[in-house]
Amino acid sequence: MTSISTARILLSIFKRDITLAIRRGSDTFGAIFFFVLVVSLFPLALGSDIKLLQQIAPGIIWVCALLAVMLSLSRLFNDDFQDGVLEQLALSVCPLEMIIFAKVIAHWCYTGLILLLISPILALQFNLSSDSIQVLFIALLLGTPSLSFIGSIGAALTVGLKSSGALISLLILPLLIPVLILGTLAIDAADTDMQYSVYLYLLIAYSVLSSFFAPLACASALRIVLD
Amino acid sequence: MLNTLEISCQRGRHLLWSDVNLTLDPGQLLFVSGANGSGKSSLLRILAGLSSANTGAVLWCGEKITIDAQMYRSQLLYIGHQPPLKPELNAIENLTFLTQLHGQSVAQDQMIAALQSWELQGKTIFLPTKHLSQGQKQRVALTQLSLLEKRLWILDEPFNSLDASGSNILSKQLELHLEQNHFVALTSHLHEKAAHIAPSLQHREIRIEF
Repeated sequence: MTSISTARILLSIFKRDITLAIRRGSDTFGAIFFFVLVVSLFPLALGSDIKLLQQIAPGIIWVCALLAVMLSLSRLFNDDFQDGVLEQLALSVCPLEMIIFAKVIAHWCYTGLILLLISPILALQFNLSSDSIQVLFIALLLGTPSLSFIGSIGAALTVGLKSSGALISLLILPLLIPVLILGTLAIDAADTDMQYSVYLYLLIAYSVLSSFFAPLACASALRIVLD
Repeated sequence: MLNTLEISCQRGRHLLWSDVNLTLDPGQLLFVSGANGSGKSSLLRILAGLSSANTGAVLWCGEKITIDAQMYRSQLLYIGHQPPLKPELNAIENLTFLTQLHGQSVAQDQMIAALQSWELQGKTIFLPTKHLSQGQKQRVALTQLSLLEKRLWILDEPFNSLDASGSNILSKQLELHLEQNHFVALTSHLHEKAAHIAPSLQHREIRIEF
């Protein structure tokens, strides 16, 4: 037996969460299927008005990404709470805040990152130009981490509740509206050849701030649940 | 040394117990017994630092456990009434995760040997733990006792769902741990089981009944 560093502990938490997400397959990737299906339904339902599709594409992709992340959040801490692992996380030699950080990063990898990777393909259905698709991709890359981080606060506050899904949405959707607005504005600006970098910087700021404060908030919420 | 100073515990508006003063010296076992709902688990959770007492304080080596929580946790192993296992992972994967969470890394051979000492072998080790019986899960969780180097064990109903041979293995582990001048705190709601914790442990026992 040898002692290991904090970084190794966090890595093992990250790996475990990814492994669990893969073994649960249908559950985890349900959110991804939801995203693909709903985004694809719009061009089918709205007909072939290319101008209209181009105009609404950024909004639709962002709203669907937001809802897909929301769907996957309720299990983030609830499973660990149900099987008693949360107590072990709280009693780890590694601070709970950092453990939560690792868990949320893992959550982003099996939701946000995958959404982001398939979004360029979905964007083709809306006849977006390659420039806009590029900006959409960058905006999602910078914005989706904040969806996971802010969402984790809702997940932590609703641990132990039976139907937490609706409550999570109610709690955190207001906090995610800035991401939605900034994300769509960036793509709109790129569409009309305007300066869009400012929106991207704001998205980065939002993600960085939420990645710092959300784990602190989650840790306090989880400690109250365990008390 | 583990001390409590006049701690009390309230759940809702109901005062479960109050003014509990305990001193657990090296090599001693704290045995908490009492009826269901009398607050045994609450006492253990307070000792582990998971819950906070309404009044009073818990001291480890003369210092409040909240002051250097990290240091306290590095010496503490708490196993709740439910084995903390992920149903999708097998015994080895679960134990790898749990030991790493405690900042210790254990080789796989060592883990298999430890599981074998708890009479778990062959296929059961590599099955997702959702396919194991309650007793087997409990054994997997208790294997942590053999793997981790911790001074203070806090075990909530460790004898639950263990059969006679499992209880024997656990008693031996407890005995070994106490001989090294370490500490154990545990609960059980069964009085007959209490007699079960090996006669050799009796002189080391401190009993508290709610």
